[in-house]
Amino acid sequence: MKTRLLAALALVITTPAVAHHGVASLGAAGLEGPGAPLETSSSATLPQGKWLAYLKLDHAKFRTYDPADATEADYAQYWMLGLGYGFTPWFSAYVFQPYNIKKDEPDGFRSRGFTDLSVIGVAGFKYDQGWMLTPANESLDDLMDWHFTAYGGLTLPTGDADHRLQDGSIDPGMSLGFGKPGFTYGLTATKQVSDDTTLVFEAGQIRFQKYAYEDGQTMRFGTETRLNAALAQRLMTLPESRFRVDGNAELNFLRIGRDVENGIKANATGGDMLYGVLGLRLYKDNLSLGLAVKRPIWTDLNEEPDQQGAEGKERYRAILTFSALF
Amino acid sequence: MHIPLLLLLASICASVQAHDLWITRDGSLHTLHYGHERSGHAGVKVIEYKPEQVRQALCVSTAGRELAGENGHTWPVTLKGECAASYFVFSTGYWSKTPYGTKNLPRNEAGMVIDSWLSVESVKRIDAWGAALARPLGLELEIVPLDNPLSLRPGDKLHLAVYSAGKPVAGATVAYFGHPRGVTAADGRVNITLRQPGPQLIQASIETPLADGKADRLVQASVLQFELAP
Repeated sequence: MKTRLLAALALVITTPAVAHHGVASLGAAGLEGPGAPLETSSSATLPQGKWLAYLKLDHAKFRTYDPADATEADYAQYWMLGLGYGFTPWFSAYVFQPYNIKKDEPDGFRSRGFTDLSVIGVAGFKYDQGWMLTPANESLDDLMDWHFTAYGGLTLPTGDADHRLQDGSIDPGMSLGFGKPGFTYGLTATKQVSDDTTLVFEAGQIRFQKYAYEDGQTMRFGTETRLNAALAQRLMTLPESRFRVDGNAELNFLRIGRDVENGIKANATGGDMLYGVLGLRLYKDNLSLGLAVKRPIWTDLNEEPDQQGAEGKERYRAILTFSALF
Repeated sequence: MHIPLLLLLASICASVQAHDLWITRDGSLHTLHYGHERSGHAGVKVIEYKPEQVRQALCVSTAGRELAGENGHTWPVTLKGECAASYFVFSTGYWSKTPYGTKNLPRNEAGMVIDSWLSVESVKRIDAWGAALARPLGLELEIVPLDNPLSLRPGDKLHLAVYSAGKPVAGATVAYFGHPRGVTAADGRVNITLRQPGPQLIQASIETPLADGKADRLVQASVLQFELAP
């Protein structure tokens, strides 16, 4: 059961770090300017004084191997509501409230509820004949320079880490919080290589703290390291309708360290995996809708046969994002 | 990049840049042309204009000093002189859109008017560079390169500012060969990448309300013209 923990909780904290997708193109009314992937963070900051409302659904359907085993994870849904604000042209901050649904196979356990609130700060900078903070006003040609962001944030233990299942037990994998703040940080780089093509790169890490649950068990989840690369390709623009469609292709590498359970490195946790993501992003005025399918295309999990329900063992992940800049 | 600014890029600019002004040079003779030849817009390549529509012709040295130039007063208007920069201001005057068509008249003379504007255009050609040319000449809407544009190569970025009467203009849409690329900031500045060799055509435009009773708005457009070394 604990192997599901990573899939369940990692997204809670990971998504905020990547949740500011689409800002640049929203800021450009979707007609011109760089594209933005769905899972890889772009290097955009919010325009000063602007708000971003954000909604994401990540539906993870897991591979199952034994229909008789009701403890196998069936699916999980990670909902995310977010609000961002551009304090300066180069610094934006976000707050995210996740809501998770995790379900084992029929007759198995199920948990749902709001989990830990998270806050993220993003600082943007660029290179244009020298390093500089992201300026307030950039032409379309300026937007084709290399842009970067450094982000950092943490979760606040507002969720119920000691959430008890139907039988009264506590399973950290089905928990609704980390119990203690988790920390995320990373760097992104974005280069619009032509009017229609944008490349985005991201490296990030999430670290967790040890938490002692009410039933006495302790858990420290393994550190997660992400290396993402993405291509956003403009497919269609209808200027008179202020409508644009981009195609997105991404490779997301994820390394998950072993959990430490009751002071001991846990078996059947952690490993390396590579996801492929294919999606579309639609822009209309100041709105953006993203749709994608994400699948593991290579895995090297530590104890692969025993890690049903963990990241890397999904049949697919269906991703939907919606954001509005105002 | 703010939403309203890019909406300008998407809509307004194309209309106000409907015609091109450009200067050809033959030795010391600078000739002003009007039409659609340079930006690729549809329409007659060269339009014959009235010489009196040229409000000003200016020949400037690399030191930014006005040089005495010999002006021709027939179409096409010419300016003769050893100019580092030549500059023309051109106006077709007031225009009024009515249910019966668009008339070259102020609104108080055009009858039932739906929309009206005063059109003022300018063009600056730079053939030699001096630091003084990085400052505005202090006239109508004007594009001012902040660095020597003649030293740039295709792919380089031109840092420029847009001024009107010597003051920075915020919100002016700037285009490269008719394609909007940016909007000026509060200090009038914007950066444009020069994408092709040879003659360069950078255009700026802005609309401001007018309260002279003759038109609803002032439509100003300006062109910066120079040539990159091959």
